[in-house]
Amino acid sequence: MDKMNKDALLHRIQELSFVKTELELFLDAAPDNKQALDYFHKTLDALIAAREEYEANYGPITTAGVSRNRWNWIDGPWPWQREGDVPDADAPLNCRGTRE
Amino acid sequence: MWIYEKKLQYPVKIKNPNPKLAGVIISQLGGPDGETGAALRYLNQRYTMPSAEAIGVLTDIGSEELGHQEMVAAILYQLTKGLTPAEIKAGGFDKYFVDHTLGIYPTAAAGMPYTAASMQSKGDAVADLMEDLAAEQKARVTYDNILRLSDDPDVNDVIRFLRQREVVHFQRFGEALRRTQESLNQKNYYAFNPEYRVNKGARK
Repeated sequence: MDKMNKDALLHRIQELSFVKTELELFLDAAPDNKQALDYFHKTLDALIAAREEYEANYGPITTAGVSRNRWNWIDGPWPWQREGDVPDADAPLNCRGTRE
Repeated sequence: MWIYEKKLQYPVKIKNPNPKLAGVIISQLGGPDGETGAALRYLNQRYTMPSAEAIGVLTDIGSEELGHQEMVAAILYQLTKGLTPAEIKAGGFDKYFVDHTLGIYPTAAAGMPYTAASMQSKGDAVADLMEDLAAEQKARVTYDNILRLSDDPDVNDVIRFLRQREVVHFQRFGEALRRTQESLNQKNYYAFNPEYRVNKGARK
């Protein structure tokens, strides 16, 4: 597979995570279903691969994926932020709430 | 997004049931300075914080508080498992038992159910971090009081661990507050809200 861009890869991870969640809930209430268990493991393998690719290229999803050179865990954007919302770390904050 | 880890942050292994002690420790689940309030406070305050450091500290401490909720619940479960009605009455646990049996319910020791009215999310980084520092101190005092009331070494070992986490969190919030204040404009002498920005910078 060609290298996916950040948004596409994140979307893929969200899809796989969601499938995994659905299978977890199903299996919690139906632990003997082998077909669902196989599907769970297939999904989990694909998710692990996608997460590794994302973290290697675009930054950590959990602290286990953090850089060896710099604590990039706190880098924006956080999941609820848009690109333009990321605070400029160097600009001072003034009493009107604006940055200089 | 959160993922559950099937382990406690620190082991809880209590040999002797004790309804009286459960009745006071429950305040750290659902009381005004308890772990439920701590988690909700930090995990709601973080969204609008103006710095990456503050968002990081609130996210990670808030997540740890969810784990502490589980540890306090584990203490309560082990202190009350298998109690007889006679033990429940003798231990003063009957007023809890009548509504919740031995289920785990977030309430203060005096019976006030968990209320978000005991916490704030003010939308002002300095105000919120100041509250967080106070919250950690108040939780530490509550654990000190539990240690004054408890003579069970199995319980006290866990309570001392939780107490120490309050001390550590107080240190980290202090650093986040200091960094926030240092990033203020020099003219903002009184540390007025650095979080609310209506004009520049919010959207580009």
